[in-house]
Amino acid sequence: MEIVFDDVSYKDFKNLSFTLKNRTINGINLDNSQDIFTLLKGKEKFLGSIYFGNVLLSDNTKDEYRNLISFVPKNFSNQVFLDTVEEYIAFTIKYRKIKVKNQRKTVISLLEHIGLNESYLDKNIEELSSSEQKLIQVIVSLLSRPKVVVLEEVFSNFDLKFEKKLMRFFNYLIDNENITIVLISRDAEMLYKNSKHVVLIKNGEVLSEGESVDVYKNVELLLDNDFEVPEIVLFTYKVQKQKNINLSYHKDIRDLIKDVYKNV
Amino acid sequence: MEILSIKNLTYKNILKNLNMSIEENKFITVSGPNMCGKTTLIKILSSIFASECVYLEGKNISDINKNNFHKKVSYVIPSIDENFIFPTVEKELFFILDNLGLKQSVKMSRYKEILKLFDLDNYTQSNPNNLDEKTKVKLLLAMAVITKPKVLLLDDICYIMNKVETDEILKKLKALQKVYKMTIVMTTSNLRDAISSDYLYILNKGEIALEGVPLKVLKKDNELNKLGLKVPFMIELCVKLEDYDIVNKVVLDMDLLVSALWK
Repeated sequence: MEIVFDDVSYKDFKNLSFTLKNRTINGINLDNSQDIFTLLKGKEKFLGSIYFGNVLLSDNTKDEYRNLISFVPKNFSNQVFLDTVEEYIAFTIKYRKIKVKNQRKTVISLLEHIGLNESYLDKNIEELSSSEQKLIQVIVSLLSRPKVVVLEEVFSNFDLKFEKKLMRFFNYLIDNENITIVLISRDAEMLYKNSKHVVLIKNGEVLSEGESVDVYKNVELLLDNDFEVPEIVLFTYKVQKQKNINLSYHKDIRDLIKDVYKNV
Repeated sequence: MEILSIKNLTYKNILKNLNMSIEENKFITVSGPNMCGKTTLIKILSSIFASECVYLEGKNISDINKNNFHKKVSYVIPSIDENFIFPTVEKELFFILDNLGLKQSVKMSRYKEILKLFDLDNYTQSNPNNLDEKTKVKLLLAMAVITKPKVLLLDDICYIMNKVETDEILKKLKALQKVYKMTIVMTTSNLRDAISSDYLYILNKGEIALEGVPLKVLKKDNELNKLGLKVPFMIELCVKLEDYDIVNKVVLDMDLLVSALWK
């Protein structure tokens, strides 16, 4: 499902207009993720319009909206000191009044798709690594069968194996469940690599929006605005600028190396 | 001189027969894939988890009085330091200073010194829980360093920061280490943070998989990739270009590499 921001102003945000594309991994690159998270949650008043598919977010539609969007915040919290993963999931279902058919079967199926297994249900949630806890958070966010999942700094301390695991899962969700993914992060490297459509926000305004390669290869705009440039992009830019040699903008370093080899 | 040593440390199923000897005034980085035991190691070194295999200045830490231990060893573990107790940054820092039994004049000068070191001057009256991530980490560091410890233990403090912010924090730590003569042991999930340290350990499944001077370890791109670790861009690029005989050494500066490639 597509989300459209039309001239939205809230706190430091000034006239934000952008689109989060349907069935795509979208990225929002900005310094402080908190306010955009709050806006997407639809809990606070703001100026302008947010459309969710064809529906305008308003007091009348916000309950329906909340059922269709789900959130994975950057910090894992186990405030009621639950013991096992199974208890944690059961508590969340009860607390958020989510209706889940065949609860155990659904959870096990999600665990398997994300690359964990049934044995995780009995594990102590506090003893899981931070990356495993993050995957459990992702699973919990899907139990309400949302159309959009918004994740804040989800890859922040993942190694490559966990990153691949989660990326595979996102692609599975997009292909099989028609889910739209929104990654909110300050990490330009990660967003360049993993998101297809990206929105850059600086000082409360949209600086750029589009396919991630097109957005990040506009290096001068990024540098002028103190934006982090992915290193692989910066290298390609410098080669062009300093040596007048046009390498392609790659996402994978192996492709860049082949390109360098052909051009030296 | 050795300040900290770990002898045959085994902890639950997480760390296995680990041995490390850490020299005074060095900056040591420990990295490794998720679940390799990084955080557990820091929690053992900071005596949050009990162990009889760790020695500080030759003494087993389980025999050192808690107060004396915490005068010498400070730690920052952002994952468990989430909540601050006091309503302002100033109160948070003075709570620690008040417990050090220092003269009023020394307290004030140290307070000011620390504020300056971590650029916290404008935040003294702010609520610590409302600070942005980078400033929160700076405050946690200030709280750890204000006691002038001999050993500073840091667990993945930069994980939520971007490159520029991480470089800024690392630069500060390096400067601080020289001025205060501290030994720093820092874990990180990003190998880029390890480049400028004195020594690097890579853990895998609770054991040391690789160790040595960072540049030498980081050049082992295939081994690191197999462990699920991302080699820093400039090092990976140079190592792979070396395979093609296009360059003959690792150049960390991007402009210099571009010049070397197309003379």
